[in-house]
Order: sequence, then structure tokens, then C-alpha cells
Amino acid sequence: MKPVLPSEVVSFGKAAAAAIGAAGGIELARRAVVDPSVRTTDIAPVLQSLGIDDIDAAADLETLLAACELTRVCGSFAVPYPVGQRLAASAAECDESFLAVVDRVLAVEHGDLPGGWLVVEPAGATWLPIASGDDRRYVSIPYVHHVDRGERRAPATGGQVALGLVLQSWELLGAAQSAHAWAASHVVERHQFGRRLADFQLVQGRVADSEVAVRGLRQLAQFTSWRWSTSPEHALVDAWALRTQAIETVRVVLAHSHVLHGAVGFCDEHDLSILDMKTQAAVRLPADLERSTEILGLLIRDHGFSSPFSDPTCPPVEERRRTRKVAP
Amino acid sequence: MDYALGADAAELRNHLRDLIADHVPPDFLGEFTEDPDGPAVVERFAALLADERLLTLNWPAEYGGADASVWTVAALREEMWAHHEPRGAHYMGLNWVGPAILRHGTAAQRARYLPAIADGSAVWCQGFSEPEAGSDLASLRTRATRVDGGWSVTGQKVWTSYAQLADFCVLAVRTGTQESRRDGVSLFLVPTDRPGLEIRPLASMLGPHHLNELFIDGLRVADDEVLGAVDGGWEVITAALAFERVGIARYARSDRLLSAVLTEPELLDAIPPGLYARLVRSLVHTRVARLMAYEAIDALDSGVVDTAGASAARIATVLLDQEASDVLIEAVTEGPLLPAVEDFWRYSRSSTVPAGAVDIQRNLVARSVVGRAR
Repeated sequence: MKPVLPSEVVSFGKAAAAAIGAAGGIELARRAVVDPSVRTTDIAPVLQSLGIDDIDAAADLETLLAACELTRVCGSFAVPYPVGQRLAASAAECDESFLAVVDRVLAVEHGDLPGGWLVVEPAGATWLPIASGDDRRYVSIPYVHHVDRGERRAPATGGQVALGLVLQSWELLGAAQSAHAWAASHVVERHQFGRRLADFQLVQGRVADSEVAVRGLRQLAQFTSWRWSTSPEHALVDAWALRTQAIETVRVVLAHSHVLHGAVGFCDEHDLSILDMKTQAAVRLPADLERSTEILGLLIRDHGFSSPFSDPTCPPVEERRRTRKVAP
Repeated sequence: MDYALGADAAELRNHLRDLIADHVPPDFLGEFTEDPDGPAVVERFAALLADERLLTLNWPAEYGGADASVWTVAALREEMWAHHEPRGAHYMGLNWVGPAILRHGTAAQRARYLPAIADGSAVWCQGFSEPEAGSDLASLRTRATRVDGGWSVTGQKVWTSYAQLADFCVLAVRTGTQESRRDGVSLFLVPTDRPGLEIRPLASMLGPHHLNELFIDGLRVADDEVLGAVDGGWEVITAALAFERVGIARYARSDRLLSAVLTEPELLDAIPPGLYARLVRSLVHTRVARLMAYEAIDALDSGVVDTAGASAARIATVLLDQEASDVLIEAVTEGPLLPAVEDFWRYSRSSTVPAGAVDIQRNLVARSVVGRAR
């Protein structure tokens, strides 16, 4: 048991954060709203310099964690690029550059980017997307493109679907960490009623609740990634469990961060506003919290939910008592 | 990075479930129930564990322990708490009083007190809270004054768990001035049958034996019954509370009961979709609470000071108790699981209070985060 990221992965994350920061950081997201070509002219080269094209997340645990960490860092800067989808495609060894998971809403974030997309559904159905004539959009959510089902491909494995969800959850973790860190700094700097905001107990309560949520999600993301590598048979259940926790966490933390920032947090000149809007696609797609919970619930009915108290190699006390009663 | 508890932990878990199946009655719901056999079950089970050195798994071999890894100990704590803590009140002595005496006690104190904790023959309680000193423990007023050869103590303690069952009490007393706050607190090791100490039970929804008051009037304590330095008790208390926050694997009871529901198809079929969704979320939150506890244990074991981590883990697990027990009390309305669920629900009402109320934990977490942000 060692529930901490390897130091090499932590170092890689720091290097990635430095490179993305040097390229503009969250300013990239602000610029891309006006000029979406920033995604290919500015962002893709930075990611390539970090070796995104050479990361095979399915290779081993350490490489998977590097992929997760890169996705998390990009989530923390609201980088407008399908980083997790790129890494999921590499692991699937498909010809396309990006792999997206979709559910009831046939929509793909950054689906307009060139390089080819592979779309997989929760049960594994896989197809190439074709542009939809449907121009409905999620109001105010940039980069979301509706698609229709095109040419069928060989069904994806549960592990491939799961990896897409896991990487996306690391993106949400990064977003939650930023929103929390900015709120913590804000309550130290901002004074009202002659005191720091941080000196008010209700403010402390919100900061604490965000910290608990972010720590919990970080641990679950690490655990789920470890399990993806070591217990692939549980990958899908674990991944949907992580997704529900990621959505819940990012919602709670963004809500606290907004309250603590006040009106300025809604202004686009503030990074929180940019982060919030960029993150919504990953919150709502492929499935919102209710739908994700529904899918998870169905999977649990069929496959159970791993824990020390559902481990088939260690039967519960009740079963042992029953066995003893029938024994001679 | 690795999340496996290891083969030793798995083996121990299997063995403990066998012991529980063989030696703990199916209707045992802990020591704080109306069941008159409860204390006897605990006594027998504690002796059984003591024989195998499982009671003091985390202690050094020299003092009757097994020098086990923190992860094997974590598995033991999970199994005990999940199965209604068949060690009963002993866990207080095992989890922190014993280790505190090991660390801060004199050689004579170690020789006098530790063997009886290790063999399961002595139960300890902690006399910390007072009517005017709950969350603000540093304001405690129970007063010790110097007398020939020791101290005379007068004051009152309250909410003292298991005091009626206990043979000894770790008493936190004021030896400095009232203004000295945490710099004037000492810890006394006192037999509960000594004149000057009267224990009165408080009836509560949490069950018998749980809450008590201690009335202390002229209690004599010898110099060699002071744990650590005079006026130096706060450091021991802080370490004890940090330990207590992760020393009980509270999430394990949610885990066992929620997992049990999943194995009952008829029960599952009867659960309405909205409630089932809450149950699913509780399963995920249980996993999260367990992982946060592991992170806090790893930090403690690595010597990393992570106050926020221990408090965050505590917040997650006590809130889980209330969330999961609310789900379970709606989902399980009849059948063999009901008594355990009812007991869990009742006991979980108090989960946000002991070892530092949940809002005190929030203060600790916030202080750490704000300090980091400064």
C-alpha cells in the first residue's frame, strides 16, 4: 500500500504545468473562445512537446498515471483541447486521433478538430461520427459539436470505455483543484468588514468542504487508475463510480469558489469564469450525474462493487456461520 | 503507487471473520446495547484475541504486541468496527492509551499498566470533556493541587464513554493556572475505583454504558501516576486525538452493510429507483472515505505531518456514517439485516461529535488550507 503518485509522475506534472503556463496557461482558453484555431496553432504543439503522441496509457501503470497527470494539469488550466480523448485513442491503438465516449446525447467536445474521431458508447458500440445537421448546442458551452452515428467499427472493450471516463475525471479533478486553490487565495487576500474573508467561520467551512471533496476525488482518481491497470475486469464499474464522484466534486467546489469570489468570479476577466464554462462539457458529457449514477447502478446490479466486504475470496461472517451449521 | 493491503492483511481478515463467526453471536450489536450478554461476549472475544497477540497487533513485541504493519492493523480495525467492535471498550486502551504510555510513560508505568491492556484484562476510559470544556478542551477546569506525595483533584468530567466498564481513566486536569490553557494541562492515570471518583451513567439514545459523568472530589493521585511531564499533557492529548481520528475505521460499517444489501436480490428489487441511486452514491462515498483514511494512515506512518489530511478523512467518514445509515434505514425495513442497520443508524447520530466535532475538524482543515494559500 502506497497511496501516493510516484515522484516521476509528480515531476512530469510539474513540467507539464510549467510548459502550459509558459504558453499562456488559462489565457489559451480565453483566446480560443475568440479564435478556435488556437487549439491547433498554439496548444497542440505544446502538448506534443510534452510527448502526448508518445504516451501509451495502456502500456503500464506509470505511463497511465503520466497520462492522467497530463490530463489533470490541462484541466487545471482549462486547456481547450481534447487531451484525455487523444490519450484514450492512443491506448486503443486505433487509426483515429481521438476517442470520445458518448451516451444519450450524441455530442463531442472539440468534435470539429481534424485528425479523426472514434466514438464509443457505454456498452461498447463504436462508430465514426458524421457531422450532424442538428445545430442544437448546450447554451454557452464552447466546442461541443453534435454528431450522428456513421460507419460502425469493432466494439470497444470495457477497458477502453473506462479509460476515456477515467482520463476525463482527471480533467475534472484539475478543474476542481484550481477552483479550490483560487478560492483559498482569494479569502486570504480579500478583506470585508475589516477582516480577511478567511477569518469568518462560514467561509472556513466552505474552504474545508472543498478541501475534503478535492482530496477525496484525488484519492479515488488514483485508486481507479491503479485498478484500471491491475484489475481490468472491474474497470467499467470503477470508472463510472469515479465519474459520479468527479461531477459531484467539481460542482460542489465550483459553487463554493463562486460564493467566495463574489461577483468578480462570474466575469470573464476572472479565470474562474473561464474555467467554469470550459469544464461544463466534461461535467455534462457523456452523461450527467443522474445518468452516470443510473449506469453505475445497473453495472453494480450485474457485477457488484468491489470492497473488502464484497471480496469473493473472503466470504462474509454470515456465510461462514451458515457453512458451519451445515457442516457435520 | 499501490493500493493493495497485502497478503498478511488478507490472511488476517479471513482469520478474524472465522473467529467472529465462531465466537461472536449473530445478534451481537456491540457493548452499548441492552443485551445483558454483551460485556461477557466482549470479555471472551478480547481474551481470544489477546491469546493470539491480535489485541495488541500494532504494539512492539516486547510489550505483548506483534510489530505488525499499519496496513495489517488497518484491516483489523476495519473488521472490528464493521462487526460492531467485539473488542468493546478495549479499543481505547489498545488504540491510544497503551501507545501513549509506551511513548510518554516511565519504565515503571509501562510495567504496571501495559500487560493488563495487552492481555485484555484492563479497560481504560478517557476523562477529557467537561461541562464547560467540550470542543474547547484547553479551557478545562478540573483542578489538581499539590499535596504531600502527589496531587488532590477536584472537578467534573462528562460524556466519558465506557467509564462504568473501565478499570482505569486517563484524566486530563488543570495543573497550571486557568489562564495557562494548553500549557497547564497534565494527564493522570487513575484507577476508577479510587475514593474521590464517582461515576454516574447518563441515559442516552446511544445505548447504555456509553455516556457517563465523573464527579471528582479530593481524588488523590501519586506523582508516579502522572503521564509525561507535569503541565505537558496537551502534546499527548493532541497526538491521541490525531490517532483517534483515523484509529477507528468507521467507514467499514457502511461498507459491510451496504455490501450486504447488494447480495440480497429481493431486498434490492424492493428499493425504489431514487433510493437505489442514493445507495449507489453511498457506495462510492464509502470507497472515498476508506481511501482518505489510507492516505492519512500512510502520512502518519511516513512521519509526514498532515493535520488537514487526518481531519479531512475524519470529516469524510463521519458524514458518510450519517448518509449511509439514512439510506440503509430506508432501504432495509425488515429481515435479518434490520437490527444491525437500526443500531448503525442510532449510533451514527453521534458520529459528527466525538474526537473533535465535525466543525472543529473543518476549522483545522481550513486553517491548514489558508496557511498554504498565504
